[in-house]
This record gives sequence, structure tokens and C-alpha cells, in this order.
Amino acid sequence: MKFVDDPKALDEGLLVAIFTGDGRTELHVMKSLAKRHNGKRIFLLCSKLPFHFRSGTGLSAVKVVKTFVKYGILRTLFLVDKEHVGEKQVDIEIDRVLKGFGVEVESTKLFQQPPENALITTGSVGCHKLTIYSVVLGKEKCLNEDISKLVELELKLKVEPEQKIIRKVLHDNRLDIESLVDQAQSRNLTEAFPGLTFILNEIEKKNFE
Amino acid sequence: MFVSQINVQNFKGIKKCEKPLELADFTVLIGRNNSGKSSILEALSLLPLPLHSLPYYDGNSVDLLERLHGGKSSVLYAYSGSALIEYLVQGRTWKIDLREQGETYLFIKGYKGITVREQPVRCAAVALGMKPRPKQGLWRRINSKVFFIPNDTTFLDVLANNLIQERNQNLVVKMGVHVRITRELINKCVDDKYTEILFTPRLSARKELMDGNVIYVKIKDLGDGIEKAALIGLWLETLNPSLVLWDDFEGSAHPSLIKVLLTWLSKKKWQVILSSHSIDVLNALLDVRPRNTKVIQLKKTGKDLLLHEDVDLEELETLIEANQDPRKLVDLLKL
Repeated sequence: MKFVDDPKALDEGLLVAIFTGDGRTELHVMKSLAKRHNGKRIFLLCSKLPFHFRSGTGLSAVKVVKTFVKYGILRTLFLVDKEHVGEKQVDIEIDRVLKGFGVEVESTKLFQQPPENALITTGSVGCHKLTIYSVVLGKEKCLNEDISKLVELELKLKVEPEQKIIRKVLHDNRLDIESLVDQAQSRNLTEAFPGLTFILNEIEKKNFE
Repeated sequence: MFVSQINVQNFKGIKKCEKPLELADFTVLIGRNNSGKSSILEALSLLPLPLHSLPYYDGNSVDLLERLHGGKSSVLYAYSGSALIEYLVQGRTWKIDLREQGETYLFIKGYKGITVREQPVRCAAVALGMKPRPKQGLWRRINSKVFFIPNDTTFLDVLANNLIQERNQNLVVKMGVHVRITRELINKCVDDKYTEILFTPRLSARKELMDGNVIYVKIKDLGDGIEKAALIGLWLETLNPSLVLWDDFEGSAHPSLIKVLLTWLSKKKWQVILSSHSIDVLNALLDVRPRNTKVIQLKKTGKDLLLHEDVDLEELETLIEANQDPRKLVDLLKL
């Protein structure tokens, strides 16, 4: 599995476009997680803006899948922070947004226990069949909670799920987020990022079908 | 809308277009370097009369392209043969044929070629719904319909030099453009307050100080972005063209100037086609929301076939809200 941020680097294979919120931490994690998956000819494309210009970090951003069809993108991975989901039921909300924007939803599969809050939605726009993989990051707030869990599992250190604190601890251990994920044990990755690792495995399975 | 469609063959780096480009009242061309943005604008810049002088340049539009690219053959694909550009201008087909040997032909549908060749000014005037009389200065009125701003640093000097010619100066002052542009463009982008632009001894902006004194600041000293905006603003407001073509729109412009310029351009009746690499332009476009706007993403294949995809404002907003960069997605366009 290869993470690319420039479509020029794409080759023939399964293309999954990633779209995320306003941070860049998710991309570091995805870049390293992609390397840990062996599926060849699977490209995770992130054509992210250099800065976040407009608010759209919530579930409503999923409507972009319809515009993606123009570019031949039929598979997407939507990463959303728990704080932007709140108490909403993710499956129902994504279903509502997609239907509101003319995507015919065919099936929705919500994985709750375990992993929590991973979702696979299939649908169509005209003759195009879409698959939308969604993962809610963090238990209460965001991905930092998952990273702090990985730090705990890997380095045996309790760290507050705050970006600055995590970076400081990693820096003190001569690591950054990418190298932490790179060297982490697989079972720790699965425990820290249950939704993400589950969905990446599902994408890999899909490629072999 | 002045021009609603363009199709290009063997012009600059474009061998042909997969399909004609449909233009809007406000069109923004985006794409990688060498994706055909400037070529499309330059092809449009040949309208209406490619062999008659431009009011803002010392020569015609073919001369201007030659100056930008160093010789006529430079505008031909692979530097040889002939280029054919087809336009839909106010609902009528126009064609311009550029030949390697130097000849340039204009065809307007509804007129026999020989008539256009012999009387291009008259034919163009009638085709554009203009009264062909008085004959004097008719070509100037016709060629005032299209204003092209290339991405060329020396072009600003050309605009400035032609602007200070007595005839143009008088026109600017008579129409009050020197005051209007100061108020509507310059003052909106700088902290100082200016009252007007003056021509002598050089192009300068008049500034009233708190103590009642007045100083004259050279336009050049207001920074490249403001100088560019002021000169182009003065010309556009004076000529009031039907079509404004602006290559590399964001050059030297702060995001606030980009927004002011887009707002100003969108309030006029002219059609605007600009090219940009800047996400600030796309973001400002979503704030300004000019009427009938589209973004055209351009991509050239290895065989120099021009592909394009249109994105409307809703789609653009959806992409940007989802944190996606439309400038990168263009690379996914396929035949």
C-alpha cells in the first residue's frame, strides 16, 4: 500500500482517496500505516490543501465523494475526529448527507465492537459504484488519543493526548509520529488504531477479491 | 457573454483539444505548469482583429505574442505548419488561421472569406453589432473589446508608457477613471489614503497628509501588486472591454488584493477569463461568487491533447470544505 500526495505519482492499481479534517497528524499516521500493509498496487491518495481554508471538518464533508466521481475516484477513506461527530450516529448521518447530495446509498455496515466506529458504505452515482470507508478517530476528541495510546503501549509512558506533549515525549525519545508507527508492534497498532487498521485490512481484502 | 467557446489546434504547445472549451461569464483556468492555460488566453487574445493595432500596445495582438515568445513560429505547434483557432463570439463562429510563413487569416461565419480579408474591420464591426461608421478609429473601438494581460514583467511598462500618451491621459481624466480607480482599488488595499492618480511628471498617486500637506508617491513605489492593479484598472475602466484575459492573475498580489480585484472585476459587465495557480484565488472566488462562474481544470496528455473538466462554484466549495486541493485533482483527468 502506498501513500501518495501527488496524483502524478499514481500508477495502475486500486485508488483510494483520503480526506481528513484540518490537521496533518492523520497524514503522518496514514503514511506509516500504509507501509505496514503489503497490498501491492493500492494507492492512498491525499490531495490535501496546504492550509484549511473553510470549515468542513464535520460529517458533511463526505458529500465530496460525488464530486470525486468527476476525477474517477470511486473509493474514498473518510477520517473524521470524534469531536466533530459528537453524539450523532455516524452511519445515519453519513447516509443522510450522501442521500441529500444525490448519492444512492445501497448498504451501510457499521463496525462497533471491535473496532468501534468504522463504517463501510456502498452506493452509486449514475452508473458509478462507490465505496466509502469511514473511521471516527479518537474516543472523545481526536487522533491524539489514539497516538497517546500507542506511545503508552510502545514506550510504556502515560502521555496526555495533546499534540505538543506527544511531540515533546517523542522528541525526547528521538522519535516522531511516523517513526513511532514504523517501529510499533502490529498488535499495538491494532489496539491503538482499531478502526484505521481494520479498514486498511478491508481495503486490502477488497483488492484481492 | 463575448466569447462562449474556443477550440484550438496546433497552437503553441496544444496539438488539439479533446473537446471545445465552454466559457462562462467568469472563468478561472487552473492546471499544472505547461498545461495550456496561457495558450488558451493567448489564443483568445487574438480576437477580434489580430492584424490591427491594440489601443494599449504598440502593435497588434500577433505582434504581442511574437514579443512574448520570440517570433511568429513560436506560437505554432512544433514551431511549424499552421494553427487554427475557432471561437464562438456572440453566437457566431470566428476562425483565426496563423501560418508559418507569416500570414494570418480571419474568418467570420456568414461572410465570404474574401470579404473579411478585404474588409476585416467592417465585417468584424457588423458581426459584433457595432455601427461600421464612422470609419475613423473603428479598428480601435473593435480591438478595445478584448484586453489581454500577459504574465510578463515588462508589460506593465508598456501599459504605463501608453497610458501617459496625451490621448489616453485625456480620456482617463475626462472619464474620471483616475479618481475612481484610486478609490475602488488602491485605497482598499493599502493603509494610506490617496485621492487620485496623476500623470505628470510621472504616474503617481496623490496623498493628503494629516497636516494638510500633499505628497505624490510614484505608482512604482506602491509595490508591484498595487502598480499592476492600478495600471490594469486604469486601462480596463477607460476602455471598458467586453472580454478581460488575465494570465497568472495572482502575480505579486496579497490575498486581500486578490479579493479586492476579484470583487471589482465581478461588478463590471465584461466577461473575465483568468488563469491562476493560487488557492487564494479559488478561496476568494468562493467569497466573491461572481455571476455565472466556472473553474476549468486543464491537463495536457503526453501527445499534447488538451483535456479539461469544468467545476462549478458548488463543487469547488465542496472540494475545499473537504480539504481537497482542486489544483492537484486535475491530474486525475483521463481521456
